[in-house]
Amino acid sequence: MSQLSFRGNKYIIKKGDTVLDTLLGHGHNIPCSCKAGICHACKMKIVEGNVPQIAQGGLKDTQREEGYFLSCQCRPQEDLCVCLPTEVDKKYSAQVISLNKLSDDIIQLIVKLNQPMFFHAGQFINLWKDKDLHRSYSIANLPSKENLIEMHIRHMPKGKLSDWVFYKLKEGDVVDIQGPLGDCFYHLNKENKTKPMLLAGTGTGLAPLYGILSDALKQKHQGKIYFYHGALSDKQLYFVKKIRQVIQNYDSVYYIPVALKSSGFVKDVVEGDFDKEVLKTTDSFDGWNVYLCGNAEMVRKIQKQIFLKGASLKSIHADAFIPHA
Amino acid sequence: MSYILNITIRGINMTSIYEKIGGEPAMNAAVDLFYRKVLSDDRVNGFFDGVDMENQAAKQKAFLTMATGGPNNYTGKELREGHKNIKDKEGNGINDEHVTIIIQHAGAALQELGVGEGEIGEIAALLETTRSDITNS
Repeated sequence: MSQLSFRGNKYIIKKGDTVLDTLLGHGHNIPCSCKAGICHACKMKIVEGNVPQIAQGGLKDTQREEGYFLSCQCRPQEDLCVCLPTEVDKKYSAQVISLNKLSDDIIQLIVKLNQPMFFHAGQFINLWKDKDLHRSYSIANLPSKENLIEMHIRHMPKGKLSDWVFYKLKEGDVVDIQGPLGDCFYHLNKENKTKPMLLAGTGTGLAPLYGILSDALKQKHQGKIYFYHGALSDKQLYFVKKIRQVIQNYDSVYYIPVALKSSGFVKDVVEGDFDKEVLKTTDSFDGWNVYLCGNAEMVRKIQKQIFLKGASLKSIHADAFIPHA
Repeated sequence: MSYILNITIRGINMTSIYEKIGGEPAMNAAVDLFYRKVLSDDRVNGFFDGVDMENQAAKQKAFLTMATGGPNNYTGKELREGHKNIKDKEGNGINDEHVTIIIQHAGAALQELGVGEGEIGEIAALLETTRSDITNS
């Protein structure tokens, strides 16, 4: 019989029982619905141990890699420690290395963690201002020996956290970081390596996409990569020179900055509606891996259109940013 | 791992088509085909505006799994509750015509996956029994 650890408690899993049965039986309120491995409401995350393969059936590759599983389908053969997907409780202390303005309302914040964190570029972390307030930000850089984390933070009107980052935070300050979270990252396998990729984001949606692009190039991705960054005006686009420089030696990587209105500030910007430009990439997205990040409405709109143009829902990673004051 | 091969849902005996067409992986392919048909059809896509596509796909998979006799815990009560408050932009609920269209799309998706006509007929008959729960009548 195997033992299950959850929130500091240890339970014996009765023969034939699932992780979900065991936790519900001990009075834990675990979200669930169909109990047949279909609705995914009871998804949980491995903290330590292994789960049978069937418990990860139907999940995205990136979710499997991150240790997600369906608790209603999981009859563990060995001791297992689990948490809810929202309960990743590992906190890191980090020192502010630099704060750089990328555009009028976007700041690049780089911090150095006090210990290594295993993450994929494109995942996100929670940045804590104090013990009561945090916001989620995507990771724009690859893991490095220096334990750095790069975030792009947009100044929100009356934004409690972004006000603090813009006006109070300074080099040398120490902040708390929690994570990593999310499944929006480059998943390396033989099949994905040659598939065409679409990366499309608005505003600070560039941060995770830049991370994913860096990862794909580092892993020697062989398929074509189309990278779209959108903003209302070209003055709000950032990293333009940097991306052009990064991709200049790659024949199969295309960078397309798009602005609704161009003032000539950025060279070779495409003027037009972001979603329409992105959809022009190809007639069929069948067999593509797609990453969409940024403005929630735009992400959902493009997600739907890309799906209708042939992409499998499982191959579309949509990270819709929900703004908070 | 094998699923129950012979089950009876609402009085109809389903020799599991679910198993025959390839179980869970086939359902993933079926959902993409089915959902794409539904979203492309202006007669019914108004009910799907603004929903989270991944959640919706999970529900559609549950629906197709039930329809093909795969493992599910759906009851009439859940179907009724789940569809009760669904309205399009004009505030219209789901009517008989909408259900007919959805059943046709499910059939067409399964046909594309190579499910035979006779089996699609059985599935459609099963789905017919859910009609009153979905239209809340």
